[in-house]
Amino acid sequence: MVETGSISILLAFAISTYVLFASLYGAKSQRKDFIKSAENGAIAVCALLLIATIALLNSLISLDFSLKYVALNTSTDLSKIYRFTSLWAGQAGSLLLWCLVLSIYTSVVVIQNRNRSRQLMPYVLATLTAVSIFFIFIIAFVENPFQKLPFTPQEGRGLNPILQNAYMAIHPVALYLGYVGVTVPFAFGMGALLSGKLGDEWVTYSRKWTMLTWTFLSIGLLLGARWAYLELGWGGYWAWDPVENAAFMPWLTGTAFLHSVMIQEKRGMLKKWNMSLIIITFFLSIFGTFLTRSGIVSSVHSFAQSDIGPLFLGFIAFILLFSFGMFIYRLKDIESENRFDSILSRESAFILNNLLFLGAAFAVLLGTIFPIVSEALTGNKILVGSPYFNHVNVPIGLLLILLMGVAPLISWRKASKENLFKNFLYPILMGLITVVILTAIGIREVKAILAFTLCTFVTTTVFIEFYRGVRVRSKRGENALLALVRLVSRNKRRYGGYIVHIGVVLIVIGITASSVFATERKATLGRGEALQIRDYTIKYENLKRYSTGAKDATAAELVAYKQGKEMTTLTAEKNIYKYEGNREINQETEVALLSTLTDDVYIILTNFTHDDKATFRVFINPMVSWIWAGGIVILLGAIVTIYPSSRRE
Amino acid sequence: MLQYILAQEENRKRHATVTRDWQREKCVVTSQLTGSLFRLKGYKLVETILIFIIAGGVALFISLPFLSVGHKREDKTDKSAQEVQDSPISNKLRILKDRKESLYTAIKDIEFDYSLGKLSLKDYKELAEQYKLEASKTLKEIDNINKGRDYRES
Repeated sequence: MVETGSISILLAFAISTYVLFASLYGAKSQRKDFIKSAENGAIAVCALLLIATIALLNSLISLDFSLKYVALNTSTDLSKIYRFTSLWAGQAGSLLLWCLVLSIYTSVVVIQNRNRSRQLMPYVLATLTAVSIFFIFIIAFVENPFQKLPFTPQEGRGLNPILQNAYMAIHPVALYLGYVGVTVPFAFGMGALLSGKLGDEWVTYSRKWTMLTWTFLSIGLLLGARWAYLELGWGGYWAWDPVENAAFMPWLTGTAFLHSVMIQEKRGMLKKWNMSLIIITFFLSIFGTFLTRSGIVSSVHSFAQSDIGPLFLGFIAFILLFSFGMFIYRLKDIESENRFDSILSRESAFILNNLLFLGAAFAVLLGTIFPIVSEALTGNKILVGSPYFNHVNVPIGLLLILLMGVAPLISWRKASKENLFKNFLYPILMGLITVVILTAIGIREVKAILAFTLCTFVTTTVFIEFYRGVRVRSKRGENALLALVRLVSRNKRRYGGYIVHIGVVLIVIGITASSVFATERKATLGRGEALQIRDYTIKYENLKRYSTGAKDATAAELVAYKQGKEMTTLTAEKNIYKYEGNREINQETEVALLSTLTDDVYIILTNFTHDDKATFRVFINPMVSWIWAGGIVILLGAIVTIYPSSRRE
Repeated sequence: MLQYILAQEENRKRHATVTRDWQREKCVVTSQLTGSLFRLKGYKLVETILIFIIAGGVALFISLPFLSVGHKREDKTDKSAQEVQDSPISNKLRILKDRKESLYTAIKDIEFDYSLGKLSLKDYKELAEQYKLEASKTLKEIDNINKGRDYRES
């Protein structure tokens, strides 16, 4: 299978090059046979990359250590599921997965549009293929997953212990589906610029694909945060790490696009802005990939680094020059069809929302690349820590939540001033009640009060939107449940979007509570001793040492009590793995976690002595589970929005 | 306890040996193409056949559109259809139809926003009238273009 996989990659590269030229020639000369052949070629590339992936998976599962990639990322003690997930544990394998995902997306685009958008499609296909060629070139000639070793070792280096986590089985795949997916809306944008067909077609396709990839990116980000929370053992889930930022930046600009594209669809406005946003989002996704894989920044999330940085830089420069060059060339054809009817309208709220999202993305980009820039200019690497990111992004985030509450209550085109008071009355009232309650229970942190108040404001807004919609339908004789179902199913984008907003509110509540009200204690305990933290008592029972084929483990058994009542037994571990995989780590911790709706009890075993004294760091992180619940709600909302209609809405 | 320490020491040694092996042996990057083809000569007949089947299948699949009988005629039809699609009248018609759709959506939005209480009666009437007027103008323009087309075709 190794030879088959290796040759499949080379064939995929050759055919992709053919697809690029055939689609461009077919479009230029209007030769249908060339275009069809190029489309078949795109599907063939997908099949070839699938064969290559199966071949690599076969080598990983059968532990063929003659392959460098297998020997570097697996070992005999690794379970089959982690042998499978090691496909994306290293550079070459994850790039192969990247190529496969992009080729699957390309095939879906080709099959979906076999009989439509015929003038746009050859250019869309050419763009998708141009991006594919770059990545396939890397796996064919620079980072080949089928590279052989001159000898066959008896044992591999194993999978990095911190990658041996269930979330690592799904988090990278979800993130890739999002990251790579950004190429599709970009391709539609470029297709429109190249073909000169700058009507509504590309916007509709781009919006649908952006929604899909945005959903994957959101889920990927949250799963990554959950993995970091469980596996990295520092008590938190987000640290503004460069790799986290790399995925967050296209998410921010993608979110901006999802809002502003509505103005283009409804009003024929912001055409230039939307085109720029799509190009920027794609640029950020490739730039993020460059950051993750070039080793230019150090990150706890980076497991795949090699010398492919200069290639990426060249590619990024090409993307920017070519796409903005085309944009400038077509500038006169991308004029707005309408003007604002009123400054007090939903359009204005969306523009403000866009500026804030873009501002946040720029701030994150600046903070992420500042160490590189400062080193290049002064020779000293100046690191930018969490305080900078929080200082800039928290106010922007709060303003965005405010807009999330305001925008749905004002009308498109023109808001009636006389109706504004009536519409905002209940949300403002609920917000004020929240302030009173929070102050009454002793909360004094301004940021927390502001965040919770705004969250109540948004929730009330969404509730009112649903309530009024149901009421309008009920007047036509529908019962409340039927009215709700029909309201949502006939306005999926609007109400799916509101559900997503509720998911965001849950996440904001979780982030605020866990960052403002977290408590930490560090203590060294002997067996039978306990420590008190908030309402919890943590009793240290026993220290066990054991060895498995993969690790030497030291496990501390603890019992958690809340207000004197026993809750559960917990185990915090500190392990030394025999095989450390592709990144050196000395020791790995397995945190003990008791998660409830109100609090997370999070215990790290930091040290222990031969007489079984153990040192623990214990955190009480309030409402962290709301973040994960928010993720599920976002997914539900996104499904409602994406779900295809059987009839025109 | 002693047993545990011994086991741990043995594991460390094992780990160190594997790491040393890795450092000592230089990984030579072999040319994938020449390496693969070289191996094909000697053995793995089944895999060789498989590779040829894949390559042949792919080549056939990509060439299919060129092998279809009558593709030249189709091209010509396509070209003429393309020319019609690209003509200034067709472009104008497409723009007007897009505009019509956008105005219909706008009217629906205005009605929905009014029913939800976001617009006052005065603003609703004003906006609805404005957009309905624009929609009727657009429909008239579409009709005029279609009539002109029919006249030319007859």
